[in-house]
Amino acid sequence: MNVDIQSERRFSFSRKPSSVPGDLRIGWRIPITLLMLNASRGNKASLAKLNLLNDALRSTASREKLAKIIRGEVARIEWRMRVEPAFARNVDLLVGANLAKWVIANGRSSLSLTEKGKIIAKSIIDDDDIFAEEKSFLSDFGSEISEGFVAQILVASKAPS
Amino acid sequence: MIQICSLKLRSITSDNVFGVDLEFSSGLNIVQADNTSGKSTCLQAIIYVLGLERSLSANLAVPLPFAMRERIQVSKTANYEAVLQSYVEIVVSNRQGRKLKVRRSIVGDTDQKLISTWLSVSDAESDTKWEQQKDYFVLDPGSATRESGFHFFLSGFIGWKLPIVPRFDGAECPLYIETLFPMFFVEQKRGWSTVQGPLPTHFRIQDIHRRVMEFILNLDAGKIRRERAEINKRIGLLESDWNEKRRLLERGGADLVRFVGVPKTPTAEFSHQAAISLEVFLDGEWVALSLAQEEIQKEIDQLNDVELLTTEEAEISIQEALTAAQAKNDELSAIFEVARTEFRTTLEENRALKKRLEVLEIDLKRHQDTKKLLALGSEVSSAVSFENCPTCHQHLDQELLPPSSSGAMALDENIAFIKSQQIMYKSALSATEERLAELRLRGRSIEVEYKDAQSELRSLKRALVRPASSISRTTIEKSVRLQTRLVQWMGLQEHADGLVDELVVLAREWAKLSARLKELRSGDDFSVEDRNKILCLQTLVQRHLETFDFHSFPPIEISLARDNFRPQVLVHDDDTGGEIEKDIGFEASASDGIRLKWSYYLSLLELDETYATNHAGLVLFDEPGQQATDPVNLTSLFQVSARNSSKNHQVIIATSEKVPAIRAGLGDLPYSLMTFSGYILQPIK
Repeated sequence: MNVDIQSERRFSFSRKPSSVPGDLRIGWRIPITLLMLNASRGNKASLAKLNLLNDALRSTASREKLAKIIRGEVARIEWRMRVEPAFARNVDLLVGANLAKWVIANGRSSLSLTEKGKIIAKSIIDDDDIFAEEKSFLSDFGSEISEGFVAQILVASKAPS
Repeated sequence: MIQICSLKLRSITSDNVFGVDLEFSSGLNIVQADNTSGKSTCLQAIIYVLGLERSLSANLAVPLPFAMRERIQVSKTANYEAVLQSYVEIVVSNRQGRKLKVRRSIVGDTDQKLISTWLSVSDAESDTKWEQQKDYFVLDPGSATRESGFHFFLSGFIGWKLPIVPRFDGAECPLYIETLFPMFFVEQKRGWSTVQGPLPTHFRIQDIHRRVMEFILNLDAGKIRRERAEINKRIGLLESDWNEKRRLLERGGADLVRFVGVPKTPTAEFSHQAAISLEVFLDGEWVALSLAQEEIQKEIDQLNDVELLTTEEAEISIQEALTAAQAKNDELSAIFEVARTEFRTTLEENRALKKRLEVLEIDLKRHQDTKKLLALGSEVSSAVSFENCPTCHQHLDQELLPPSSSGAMALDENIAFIKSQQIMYKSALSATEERLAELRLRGRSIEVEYKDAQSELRSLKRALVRPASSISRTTIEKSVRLQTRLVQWMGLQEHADGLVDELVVLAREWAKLSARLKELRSGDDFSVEDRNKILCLQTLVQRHLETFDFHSFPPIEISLARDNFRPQVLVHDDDTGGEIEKDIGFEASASDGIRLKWSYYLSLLELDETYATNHAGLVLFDEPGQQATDPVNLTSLFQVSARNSSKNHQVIIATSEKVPAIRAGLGDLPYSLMTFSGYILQPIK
């Protein structure tokens, strides 16, 4: 391609904003985290559990895998525990915005929904239009994924394979 | 058109037969009686006997007072008597002068859903000769569409061809008679509250006001819209038919032939000049079938001309042919390998694209979820989206991305970005799919050719080991092989020719419909005749408003809305400073609302004099003055109704206005008056 470039013209480049994957949007991840906490016992969950759920909710494949582990079709050792840096930022924002707070429960530190967080979570749940898939997963398996279950998964992943 | 000739109510107790017989004539009919004496009962009985109670409400209860259902008394002070049997009977006539007697019972043995009818003998001069009784049903599904449904029969009697209209749930239904009747019958309780109707909404018909008015005014607009929908539907059918045939064509090709020149959807060009060609894969390239056939025929001819040799004589030539066949075999297997590799690569690409599209779909869903969430209300949106960090208040322009990356796209921009990617990947995907189909075809062709080459190779090898004196069969075998292929191709050609003819027929039909659709699309839906009608109706309404002393607005400023034909007025809007059109219904005083209703209904009736409309030719007003907050002058209503209604039209008014006032107001004008003192339903001797 031949383009005449006039020498007196000056060029400048500016950086185009980059496309953000939907799951890295604050506006997506915060509500999802609220839903996770809402589906947990007493509206609180340990960081380990949140990381597990976070991992599961991010893709259909991992959702299915977790479902299989819960149903006992696949060994717990199959689950790879991952820690996502973006999720840590997201939790910080959640706490900063006073939607959740750190508490000590049963000798474990857990993230717990604040009153404000509960209200917001409720309004998300009430709208049938949004987060349909995620909500249905949480309502199907939320009660199965207890802190005890998370602990078992953690123990299993530590075991030499 | 329909006119009511007579109405008969009967309510039978163990001691008495209560009832009334009302005779109606063309023109103005006034039923005069005091309040609560049974005028409305008589008018409601008309609704009931015609099975139209659902024009009032979705409720199926009998819309008649207890005098027709449970108990009845001779006068206010008399004892109640229990009703054992009751029915309503009406005689109506249509434009042809044919009479119809209809009876429906309320209490008694007969099912309320059953309506008995008698048609007058068509050539009878006296009114009393009736044909045999026929029973129809109402209220059950199919009443308007089935032969034995009363409304199906009634609309035929009136001369209506009810249009099919869309409903909110996407289904279609006829424009039920129940939806039309409120435009002729103003019922006392709710009828005076709106200009049109109120029309029953429980049928869930879309745009019911517009559809009803379009039908009553007999506008072409509705028909044009209907035709357009019909054509669109037929075009859709044609296109799916086309696709079906096209698939058949391709499948019939047995993966050996490709068709060039059959468009994916029908085109006008195809209907004129169906230039399709069949191509086969021969010697490494796509060749038109006719050329390939010629070539093969030539080869066969050559083979046939060859003198048959013994194996010994042919040895050298067979050896040569064997070498050539071996070379060809190798070449074909190489080509086949290439095609296979290409196929695999394309398939890989195809899969990758599909996966990418899947990911994009999920990503889009997430963005859209976020967007919807932000729209939920300020409380939620401010809680879950941050421009700045809630703790340190630094700008969060990277969402949750690692801090080193550049700024993040805004939500809407990102949605648009994902969608544009989807478009790109989808077109890439369909390109690979086409390529795959092409490669599959080519692969199959090469495979067939390869098999041919192999069998030739085998036959040559066999030929070399045959006894020296026997006749060499290789030439014959080759000739037979080629012949087989030729026959197969000819079969394909015939198959394709037949289908192409059918495709051309489809394309022609398609082109014709498309042309008509284009014609219908130009301009709005109103024809010239439509415009004249609407204008005429508007003038009539204005004139009547003038007569009835309407004073909320100057009548001349009133026009009819083009979407639902409601009267509207231009009002100065303080916000924008411009003029806006407003429904008069909300703007006029209560008494003026009633005057507007008179004008509108009488104008519709009068319009039928000049234009061909679907008006029933009948207007019924139940207590036209009662709902007014200040006394309205009924005299002018009586005068206009008496003056304007011709032989073809009938106006029936039930009123409690005093008789002397009626007589004085109407003077010499033609009308018929029925007056009652006390209860209208009385024991019949």
